[in-house]
Amino acid sequence: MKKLLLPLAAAALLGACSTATLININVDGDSFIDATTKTISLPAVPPITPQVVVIPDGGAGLPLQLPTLTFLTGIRLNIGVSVVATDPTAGATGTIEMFVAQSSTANLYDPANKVPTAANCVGDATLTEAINLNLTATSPAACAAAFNLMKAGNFKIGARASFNLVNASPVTVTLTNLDVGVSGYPAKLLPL
Amino acid sequence: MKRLLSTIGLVVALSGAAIAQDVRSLGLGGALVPGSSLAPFNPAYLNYPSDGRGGGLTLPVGLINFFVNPQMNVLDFLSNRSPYLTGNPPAKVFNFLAAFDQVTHLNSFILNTASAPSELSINLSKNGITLFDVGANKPLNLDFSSLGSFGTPSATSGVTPIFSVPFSIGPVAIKIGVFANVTPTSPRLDPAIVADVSDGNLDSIYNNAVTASAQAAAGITLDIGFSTPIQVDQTTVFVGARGNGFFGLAFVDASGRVIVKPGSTPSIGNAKIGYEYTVFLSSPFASNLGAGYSNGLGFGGSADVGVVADMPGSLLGVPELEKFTVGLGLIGVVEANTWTGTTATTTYDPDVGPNAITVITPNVTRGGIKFNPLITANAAGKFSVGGGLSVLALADIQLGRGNFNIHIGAEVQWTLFVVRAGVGLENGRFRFGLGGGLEFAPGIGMDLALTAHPTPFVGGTSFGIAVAVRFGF
Repeated sequence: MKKLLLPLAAAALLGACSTATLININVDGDSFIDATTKTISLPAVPPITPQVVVIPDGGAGLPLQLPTLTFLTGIRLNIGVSVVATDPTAGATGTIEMFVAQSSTANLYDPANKVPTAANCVGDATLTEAINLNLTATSPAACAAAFNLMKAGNFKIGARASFNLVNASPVTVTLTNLDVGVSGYPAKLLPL
Repeated sequence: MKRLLSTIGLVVALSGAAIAQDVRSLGLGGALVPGSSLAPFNPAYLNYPSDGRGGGLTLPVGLINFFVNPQMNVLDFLSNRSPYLTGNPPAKVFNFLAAFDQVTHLNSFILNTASAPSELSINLSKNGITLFDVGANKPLNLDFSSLGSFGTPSATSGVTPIFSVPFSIGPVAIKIGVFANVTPTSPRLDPAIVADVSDGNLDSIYNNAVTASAQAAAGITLDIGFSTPIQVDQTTVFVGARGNGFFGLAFVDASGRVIVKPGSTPSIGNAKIGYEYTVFLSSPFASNLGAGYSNGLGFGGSADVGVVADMPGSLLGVPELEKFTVGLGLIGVVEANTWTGTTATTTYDPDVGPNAITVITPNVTRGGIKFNPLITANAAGKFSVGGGLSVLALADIQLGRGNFNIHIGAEVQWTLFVVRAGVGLENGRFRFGLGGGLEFAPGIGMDLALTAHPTPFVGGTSFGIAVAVRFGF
């Protein structure tokens, strides 16, 4: 039944399109997360000298092997995290950076693999009150390399966050946004 | 090549289904014209002299769009797809939406073919899936309800032959036909279950989470009708009666439901799913299916009666009125049918056992007698208004079988040229018709009519032109 449903749904969708219709699939990820688990309150965090966290842990990044997605024209990933130190004198600062490289790369977190920051393509962000990581690897040339790697389907992905707290303070960490999106011409999935 | 042949086969099959519509009636907004086209609703019209207009062969003019519209050039798309599928956006465009709209309305050449969205967003969140047309800045409705309209829906019910051979012996009209009907009901999803699982948990038992049914019947029909004119002073009265019999060779009535129950935890992932489907099968060969199945068949009939009166205008004191016609028809005054066969019910309940259980009951009889009439009253006046102009004014009303239809229409003829228009209210839905035609000789001519239907998915109305030709036979 599932085998039948998927082509039927795809055919129904294609019926509403032309070969030149750009289709965006947007997943509102944070709507699936229970509101009570979106916020973590940390009581009286002691002063932290720059602490670096890599995600996923271990420094090797997350190797992914996907089918070659030639019909894709864009990939979006919007993550909103609000880190608020209750004490205004705590001096909380930090950054988050995004890394994408070929799966054969030994050191994913080499600066050469960092997704750069350009117009409409923010590969890193400074932590003040919120982090908005917006990777849209379509138009800016600087981001095209990362996008092409992801489109080819064989890549490693990871993020590195560093955090600084001068004085001790309670800290609230909230996931404010998690959106994943892809754009493309699905008609290209038809056999030539 | 194989792909091309299968596409052409599909198109021809669909066009065959599409030629049931009468273009004259379409132009009149559905208004009924005295003559053989009214005979299905009033047997008094069986031997009523026809005015030679209407009917004919409706051409599948919608096919032309697949050759002349560059965004619907199906032959080019199938034979040379590369320019359609490479590049961002591709160099050539094949419009699936317009092709889909046209292939489902082949009896109409669609003038304003639907524009497919340039950019479409599919937004998935916990609240469900929404579609948004980014270019037009409006939500899209993934609704298939506007796909219908292969031919006009008939107010008659019961068995309708797919083809029949009519012939007459004196005033007796005989029609022998073959019927094969499939009537599926759209599957229905219980809206309560959708609301229940929105939080990821299933809290109640749903015995009818999804329900669906379908009926199919095949057999032979024999209609015998009688209509004769009686002269009463200056008025010609036609009285008619008809018996419609059928002998059924196969009947399948299937219905099914899906049962959803909470599992060990309320999480939707642990839900238990069961099902039940019932099939009633009537066929002279059913016993070959296995032990417990009995052979069966069906037969039935219905009766129709009607009366029509033709009065000269002078009788009513209107000098321009050549002829005034009123008719009253009752079809399905009595309807009776009986089918014998086997009922098989298969149930799978995850709480009862690992396997589905099937119970077969042979020699089941279904059917009965019912009073299920459809009443059709119509009036028509033919006027000569001078200058070579003649006007046919029409009005009709239909009641019964869940229908309430009312139409008015008019047809104006001047030499070869005919213009017609009409409005109707069909079960609460407004209908408008506009058309024209050429009458070269009695029974030889062509008709055109404006068509309109809702455009699928993107909304709006698709307007088109339907064409029929008549060769006098």
